[in-house]
Order: sequence, then structure tokens, then C-alpha cells
Amino acid sequence: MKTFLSFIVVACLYLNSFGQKDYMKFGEIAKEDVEMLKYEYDSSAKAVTLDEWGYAYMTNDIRIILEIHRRIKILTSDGLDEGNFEFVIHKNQIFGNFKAAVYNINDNQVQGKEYSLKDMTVSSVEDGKFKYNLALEGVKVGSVIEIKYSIEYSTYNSFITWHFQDEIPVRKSVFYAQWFEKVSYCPIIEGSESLQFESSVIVYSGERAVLNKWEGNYLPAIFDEPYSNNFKNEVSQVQFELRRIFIPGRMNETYVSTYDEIIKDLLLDEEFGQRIKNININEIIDNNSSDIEKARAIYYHIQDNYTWNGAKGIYADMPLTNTIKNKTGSCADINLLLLSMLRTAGLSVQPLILSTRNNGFVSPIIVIKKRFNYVICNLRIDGQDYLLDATTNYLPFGLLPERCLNGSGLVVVKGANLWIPLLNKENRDEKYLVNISLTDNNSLQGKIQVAYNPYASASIRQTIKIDGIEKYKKDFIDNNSALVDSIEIISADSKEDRLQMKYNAEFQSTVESVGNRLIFNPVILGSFKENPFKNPSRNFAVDFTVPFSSSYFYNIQIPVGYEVESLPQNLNLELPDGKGNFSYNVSINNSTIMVNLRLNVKTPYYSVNQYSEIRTFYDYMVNTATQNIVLKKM
Amino acid sequence: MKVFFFTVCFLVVFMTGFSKNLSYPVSDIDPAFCAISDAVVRLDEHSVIINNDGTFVHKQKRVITIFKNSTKDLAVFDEDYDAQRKIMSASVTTFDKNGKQMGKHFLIEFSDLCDFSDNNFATDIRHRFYDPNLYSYPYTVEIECEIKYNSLFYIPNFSVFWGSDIYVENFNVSIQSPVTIKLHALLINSDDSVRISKVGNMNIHSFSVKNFWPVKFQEYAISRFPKLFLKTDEFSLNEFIGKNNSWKTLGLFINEMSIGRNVLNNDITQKISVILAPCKNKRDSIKTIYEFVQKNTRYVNIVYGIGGLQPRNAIDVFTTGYGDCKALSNYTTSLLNSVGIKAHYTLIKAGRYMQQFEPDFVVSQFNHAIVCVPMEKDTIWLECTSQDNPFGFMSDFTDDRNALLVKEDGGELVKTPKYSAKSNIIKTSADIVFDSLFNSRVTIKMEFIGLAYSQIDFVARENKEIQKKYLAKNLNFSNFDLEDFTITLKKSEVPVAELTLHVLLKNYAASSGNLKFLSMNFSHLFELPKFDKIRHYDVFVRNNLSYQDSVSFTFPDSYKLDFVPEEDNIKLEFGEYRDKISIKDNKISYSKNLILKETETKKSEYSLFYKNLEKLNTLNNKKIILVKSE
Repeated sequence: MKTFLSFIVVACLYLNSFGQKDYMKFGEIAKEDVEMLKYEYDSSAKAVTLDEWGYAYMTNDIRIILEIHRRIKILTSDGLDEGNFEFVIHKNQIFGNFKAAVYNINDNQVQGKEYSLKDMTVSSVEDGKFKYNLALEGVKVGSVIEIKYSIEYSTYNSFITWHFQDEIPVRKSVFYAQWFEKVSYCPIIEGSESLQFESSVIVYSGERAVLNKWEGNYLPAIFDEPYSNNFKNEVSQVQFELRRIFIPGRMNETYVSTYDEIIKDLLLDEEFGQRIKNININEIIDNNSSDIEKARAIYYHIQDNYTWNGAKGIYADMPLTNTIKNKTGSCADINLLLLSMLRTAGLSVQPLILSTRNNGFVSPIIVIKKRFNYVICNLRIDGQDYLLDATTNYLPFGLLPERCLNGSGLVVVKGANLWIPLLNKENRDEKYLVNISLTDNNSLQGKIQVAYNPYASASIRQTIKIDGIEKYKKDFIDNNSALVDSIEIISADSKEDRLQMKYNAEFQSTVESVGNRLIFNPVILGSFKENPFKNPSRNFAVDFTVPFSSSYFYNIQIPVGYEVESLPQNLNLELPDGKGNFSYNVSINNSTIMVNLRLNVKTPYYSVNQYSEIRTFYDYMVNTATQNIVLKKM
Repeated sequence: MKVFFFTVCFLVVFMTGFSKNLSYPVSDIDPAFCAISDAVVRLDEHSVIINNDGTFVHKQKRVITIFKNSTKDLAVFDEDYDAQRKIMSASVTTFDKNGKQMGKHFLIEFSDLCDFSDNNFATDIRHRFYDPNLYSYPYTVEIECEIKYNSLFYIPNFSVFWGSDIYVENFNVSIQSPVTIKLHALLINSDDSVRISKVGNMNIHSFSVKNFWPVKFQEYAISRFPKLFLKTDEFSLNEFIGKNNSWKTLGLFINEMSIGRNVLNNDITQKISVILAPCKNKRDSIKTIYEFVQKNTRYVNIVYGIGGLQPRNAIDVFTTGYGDCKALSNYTTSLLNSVGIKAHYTLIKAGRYMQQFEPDFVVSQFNHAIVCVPMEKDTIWLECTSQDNPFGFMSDFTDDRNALLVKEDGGELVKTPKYSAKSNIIKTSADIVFDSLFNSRVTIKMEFIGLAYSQIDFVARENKEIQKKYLAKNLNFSNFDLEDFTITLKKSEVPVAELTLHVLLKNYAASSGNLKFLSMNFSHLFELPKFDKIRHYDVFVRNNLSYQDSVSFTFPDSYKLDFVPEEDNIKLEFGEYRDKISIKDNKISYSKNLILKETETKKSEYSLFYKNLEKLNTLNNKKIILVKSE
């Protein structure tokens, strides 16, 4: 899996300083910007950030101040909202130095009106936060809006994260980050746009300080796409990880610089390594059973008896005894309990930390400790690794929930820098057996039986657990595009069995009666009618998350008095490098037509370069699956 | 240690003593509904007590059992207050599934917030908020609240409906009013009636519903649930006195509230006279003023002033360049009146899905403001909150319904215009020449006319990349790649959005052996909904809409015609279809017009209606069959 991380080593120190000064002067607006009708790099943009300057710096008492100066051009009426500002400020932050202006052309001259903090409405909102808002006056299509403000943060732990891209394009964005040498941060750059970088050492308020500058020009607007992961990561941005504070005689604290140190810290941490305890498991396992049987018993015991409260994080929120008492906890509470029980049973198991799918990637090359937000167990039995997460009901032993399938994870074991790819070895599988007959009113009537493998069953079982089986059945019938009378569900509450469904469905007006012919497409289930990848080009990789397969066996009863005039053509299709395949086969046996369709996608991830592979594959699949059977009156 | 032990013992006894008094256990709910509901409203009780001085108190008690995350919001306490209404007391009590009390919280513990919603950018309305934030479903929450209002203008309406898949066990409303204050009640969509009794010198109106199950919404339907409207003949709001006995008097009240807010200054009148100089006639002047407002203002929802009823001063709108619907409509009205064009500030109940309006029950039922300009022969309507709306165009947001003109001498209830099938059209045309694989690179032209304009005009304002994604997703041509496109908006009173699509059609004809099927359903705009075996709702088709395709196919020489369907010209009760098919060598030309008629009819007519839809669908999906020539 390709990651979008890139890293810049702050190696050379230029002692000649470059200015971090704001390159714009408030109120000095170029007339051509106010006269601009279209932004030449994106003629359809509703607004564009013309210029943007950010300066984040550290004060002597180690607070961080961020100053921002921005100019936005409004190009269409949908961009008018840029004239409304709303800032939510936390109680330990200070908002200030606010200035704003709107510029329009009047009598061939740029005219503007200025605003200051006193023009803003301030109101208290929940959790002691304050909302500052202001609707600028005289904003219309063509206006340029200028705004300047600062926010003071009382904490130095997380420096500022600066986004160079947004839903409107950016013409120029410059960001300066400055901190004293006694406190060091490591910058982490993400996104695919190129940024210019400079770094120098300066003297600021009598102390040596590091000043970094990043600049991006002509950055496109950024939007989400279907089937993509971590869209937010693809935004060009810079963020910072605290490395060390060294104040001679007062403080010398190194935060992280290597994975060895992270692991060492975690193992000693009161809320991580030190939480792992011996737990009485006599009632859960049978001492005579095999290791794998013991592991399964413990895993299912936790899955069944404990509820995940939805909280992520790598540190346990409470001691294991509380988790056991409350039967609920964060992912760390639950999985460290799982780990403790597995260890008590004498099994070899280590914690594994990772970053979930909406949280960005972690990588062996760049150390970003704060990005780890989830912990699971890495169990080893007879030389085989099992990744276990007990937060999700009905997920079979050894499979991870989708949120965990994001790159690789780090095994927390001393002395090793061991990364394990977060993949599920099993795929989601569905098998359909459908007996079709033609009705008098031009419909296809299907007797349908479906069997899901345990992995594919898990999400259905969860829904049934939450909604109750009656509600699930009702929703299934209501939301089905075909007319369904009733449905039978088998093994809804099992773990390792296949979940099965049986139902009859009428697909209305699916047979066309043309002259003395009956024409219909037998592929009545699944999504084979349209290629989901309609767009010829793609910005982000396609990610199906997990491998999947489905097979359909249709038996179509030829109605009395009719014979086959023509049948669909067979097809066998392969994705390159064995990434997947599709097959479609038709045969006749007496008065039954059999259509067998199988789809198997073994590799769930396709980079932008591989996009045409998957798109063409779907094209052929759709063309084949939309073929008709033609019957003729004898 | 011993002391501690004793305390524990005492507590246990005390608590078991209590636990006999269980409240609202889930097991009390009818199991049939318990199994299929997302939440069950055990009790929704309202008591309104009207005082002699024209103030009233609204006491509410609701008990709701929450089954899942999706209905968790129903357990949240969230009530607005401002100068006109005060929350006197409130509490939220939670019970586990067995009915054992888990916690009780009072108003003093609730957050006090400004209205931090997307709807209101700035407002003086505040609200009190409490979320019990429980996740162990099911649980039950009992919310009690008492709010005092200082004007009978705010007397609420009541609806039984809480949401689909939410079962309501008990719904009770009672209103106490002194005999000296005449209260009117109107119950709609119900066979029941409001009971009226007298206790001392108080009249009591009451209404209740038991075991109400709102079935899931169905296609081409209109849902009408029991609703109780209330009003008094007279009310006062600050220094203003209003009368609900006719639309005329209600209009007078609205007008009084905005007196003096239409004043303009010299700056504005001079500016207007400059821009009106080139105008030739009245219509031209109205259009110029409308476009001036569109160009120089924007919509910002600002709710200040008495109950959010008064428009901001016209001068403020001019200087700031923004306002809400009331402010922008009042401003536009003032501009027009200032140059001698009679225009009326107008209130309306806006919404895409026709809201029920009771013309015979005079009470404020409005949620939006527009402008009405009477002309000699017709009337021009202006929607002032949009910078893009074509001059004079009423979208399906405000068309074909009652509106209250606010005039100096009172209100007048009138109807807004209706767009007929002749003016609501989606036209599709293309000349398609297939290669031997039935691919074709083709230019498709689509026109969205009349109300159909609103289906596409908002796309035109988006970034090109978003436009492309939207079109690729929402256009239904089978198997196509959208290569390039343009959207052109022709703004007029019957506006047209024109779409020119450069498309690669791939494998257009479905095949079977040597046969190819050319579908005559090119645009795929009309689709057959699923049949409702049990129809719960009356049939409702909001507007006449006509789908017109005009397409030609030229098929490759390697094929010849096998079957050509006959032409049809059919008029059904609920729709119409006619087509023309002509063939010259390898070129098939067809044109068709499918009309789905505006309909509002009883559910007993549903099966006939559905048969009509099926027939239209069959006609719409005609196929030409080609066979490979050997």
C-alpha cells in the first residue's frame, strides 16, 4: 500500500534569516484581484483563496500563537458564504487582533470597509466555548474579503496543523512555524501537492529559535470520491510532533524519536504495559483444550460479554478490574483485557498499535506517535499470527473490523521494530441459489437462498442484534426493490456458522413480451447493471477495504409452450496479476436454463494508475451480465 | 467499618423497597410494536392553561423508550427561550429497561446556550439543553417541562406524528381557557373530534389518540397525520394587538409590525433612479430592481426583534447587504413602492412537499416571505433570498398555494401560480450513430423546463468537478462515459436549464446470441415504483410533468431489422403516452411524449393508478430488435 507520507529532514541550518513577516499589507488590495471575473486555474470555482499567510510561533513562556492573514475572492453566488465568519474558541484559547474588510469596485476604484473585534457577536456555547461571528456587509459576487486574526494556545504539546488545501482553490499559501531550540518539533508533511521549504536558525527574544517556512502555489480545490480511504490525508498539510524539551537546569524531557523508545515507554506506562495483569480465567477455558481452542474461548467470551463504548486510543481508561466490573470500555480497555487473559492462559501474545482508517497512516519510516489511536492483540500460535480485536460482536476469530484495515501496525515488544500488515486473510463471501419462473404479468418470480460466510455474516448479525430480528425482517422486506412476502433467517445468532436467508421475491415488469417473444435478463440480484466507476479519470485510489466474492446459480424454468431462441454468451475474465476474476456461464438442461455468475475480487486496493484496470473489468462484467435470454412461442 | 455495613444494608432495603415502584418497563409495550419500532412514545401529554391576561402556560410531559442510536436524539431536552417565553421548570428522568430509575436531572443542571444551529447565523433566541447520553438500549426517558408565554400569538399546534417507525401509545392534549377568551380548535386528518367541556368559568378542549402507528412512507403519496390547530380571536404581542378573525385583520397586524421599516434614504432612492433610467416599461423596472437586489444582497439568517416576526429596516439591508427572507422581501417591496410600483410584502408556507394549509382557519401558518407585484394582466412574484432565481419564477418551493398579501388596509389571501404540463418538460435529444460494437460518441441535448429547472440549476453553480460527478451519478443513460458537458441557464418566467453532454455510449444494445435489443427508453427518466401490496396513503402526484425524447439511431450495416414495435397514442386516466417511429435505411428515428398527470386521489384508486404506471412503463421501454445479417 502506497502511503502519502513524505518527510523533510531539517538538516541544513541557514544562519541567514529570511523574514517571517506578513507579505501582505492589510488594505492594499490589487485592483486586478477585485476586477477578476474568473480564476484562471479553476474557471468553475465559487471562490478562491488569493493569498494566505500563517505564522505560528512560540512565546518565552512556551505558549503558541498563530497569526493568520487571508484574502478570499468571491466568484459566484454560492461563494457568498465566505462573507460570514464563525470561530469557536475554547476556554483556554484567546482570540484577538481581528480585522476584516470587504472590497468592491465603485466608480472604478477599490473601496473597502473595515471591521474590528468589537463588530463581532460573541456568545457562549457548550463546554465553555465561545462563538465569535460576523456577517460582513456589502459582500457580493466579485468582492474580495480580507481577514486577519490571531489565536493564542496555552499548550505546546500539539503545535499548529496547517492545511494548504480546502474546498476552494488556493493561489498562494505561506506558513511559518517558529519555536525555540530548547523545544523541538518534527514536521510531518502530507498530501500530493509540492511545497517549497526553507529553514533557518534565528534569534528571537534573546533565544535561538528555528524558523521553518512552507509555501504552496496554485493548489487545486479538493473533494471526496466514492470508494476512497483517508481523503483527509490527501489534503496537503503540515503538522508537528513534539520531540524534546531541554531547558538546562530545569527540564530535560525527550518525547519520542524512535519506535524503540515508544515501545519502551508504552511497556512501562501505567495505562498500557502496567495494566496487563493475570486474570482468573478458569471458568472460561478448559485446561485440557488446545492453544487455539483456548484462544477462541477467551476471544468469544470477551466479544459476547463486553460492549465497546466507541472510544479509541492506545491507553486504557481504567484498571482491568473496573472493565471486568462494568463490562464496557474503550478499545484499549477491552483489548488489554483480552491480552491479559490470553497471557494468563499461557499463550504468546503482544499488543499491536495502529491508526484507524479515518485517522491517516503510520509508517516504519516516520515516527508520529500521536497518530496511533487503536490497540489490538497479536497472538502467535504454532508460528502463525492472529490479529484479534474483541470490540466487535460476531466478527470471527482472527478477523479485524474495517476500521483497523489501514496499512501496517506496530507490535509493542521490546527490542523489535516489527510491523504487521493489517489485512484480513479471509474474504467476504456470498452464495446465491435462485430458482426463477416467469409469471403471467411479465415478472420474474425468484425462490432465493443465500448463504454468507462467517465474515460476511458478521455485519448482518450485528444489525439483527441491534434492531431485533422482526425489525430486520420488516426493513429487509420494505427496502427490497422486489416484492417480498416473508423471509426466513437461519443461524442469526451463531458465530462460526454461515448465516442463511430464504425468501421469495417478485421482480416486477422484468420480462418484455415483444411479438411472440419473451425477453428478460436472468441476473436479477447483485449490482451488475451499472459500472460504479463512471468517471474516466480518478484522483484517489480505489479501496474496497476487503477482498470479496459472490456467486449466483440461477435455474430458470422455461414456461410451457416456449422454446429458447437465443442465449447470452459466456465469458471468463481475469484482472491482471490474479487480482480477481469474473465468470458467466449459461447451459440448458431439458426445460431449465442455468446461469452461473461468479465475481471474485482478491485485491481490494487499486492505485490511481491501476484505475483503468478495475474500470475496464467492470465494463466487461456489466456488458456480460446485462445480456438477455430470448424465448419464442412454439 | 460496622457503620458502613449498616448503611449498605439500609440502602439495599431502601432501594428494594423503591424498586417495587417500577415505571414504564419495556415489557409493558405491545410486543408487536416493540419489535418493529425505533422508539416508542409511551406518553405525549400537553396541557395549555390560558390566563385572563393573555399569557399562557404550556406544560408537557413525554415518556419515550429509546431502542437504538438512531432515535437517541428523542431523549434530549432542548427548548428555546427568549423575551417572549420563559422556561419555568424542567426535568429529565431516566429509567432502565425494567423501569428502574437511573437518574433525575433538573433545569438548573442543563446547559444554557445560544442557538448554535446552522439555521440561525445570529439570533437572540437561547436554549436550554440536556442530553442524558445513554447507550445501553433500550431505556426510557421522562421529560417534563413548563414554559410560560407572554402572548397568545404563540399558542402551539399539536401533531401526533413523531417519525416513521415510532409508535405512539398515548397522546393527550388539553387546553383550559377562561370563558371570556374565545378559543378555536381545528382538528385535521382525523375522524375523531375535539371534546369541549366547562368547569367553572373555564372551557376545556381536549383531544387524545391511542396506539398510533405511522406506516412507512410510500411512493407517490402524501402523508396526512392528525394535527390540532389552535387560536384565539385576539392576541397581543408587546404593543401590538392582532385579530385572527379574518385574513384581512391578521394582515393588518403583520403590516403594523413592519410600519416604518420600509423607509429609504436619499442614497438609496438616487441609486435606484440611476439604475432605472434606461428602463422602458414597468416590467423592465421591476426586473432591474429585482436583479439589483440579487446582485447586492445575500441571505443570512438573522432572527432578532419581536419573536422573529419583524423584518429588519430596509435601510439596514441596503447598508449591510444581507438579511433573512423577511428583511430581503421588505427591502425589495420598499424599493418598488418608492418608485411608484405597487408591490406587497407576502407571507407563504414554503416547502417542496406541499404543506397542508387551512384557508378557513385564520392563524399564522407561514414560514417564508416573498414579494407580489400586481400587473395589469398578470402578477409577478419575486423570491428575494436567492441570487440566482430567474426573475418571476416560482419554483416548487412556493408555487401553486395560498399566500397572504400584506397590504396597508389588511391582508388578502391569494393563490400563487401553477405550472402546467405544457411548461414542465424534460426534453432529451440525440443523433446516435453506432459502430459495429454498438458504441457511439454522441452529443446529447437535454432541456429542463419550468419546474424541472430546479432539478438542475443548482448544479450549474458548482465547481466543474462536482458538476461532473453529479451528472455522471444522476443521469440514467445506460453504460455511458461523460466526457465533457456544458450547462446553460436561460432565466425567464418559465426558465430553461440546457445541458449539452458529450458522451461515449458503450455497448448500448443488450444482446442475446445474434440478437441486439435497442431500447427506446433513452433518457430513463420515468421509472416504475415498487407495488405497494398494502396501500396506506392516498395517491399524490405533485405536478404535471412531461418527458419528451427525440432520438435517432443509425445501426451498423452488419445488422438488419428483425422487429419494430408499433406506434402508440394512448390517453390513460393518470397519464399519457404517444410516440412516432420512422425508419429510413439504417436510421431509426423516434420521438415520444410521456406525461404523468397531477393527481390527488383516494388510496382506493391506487391499483388503477399503478396499472397506469405499469402501462406507461411498458410503453416507455419498447425495444427494436436487430439481427446479425449473415
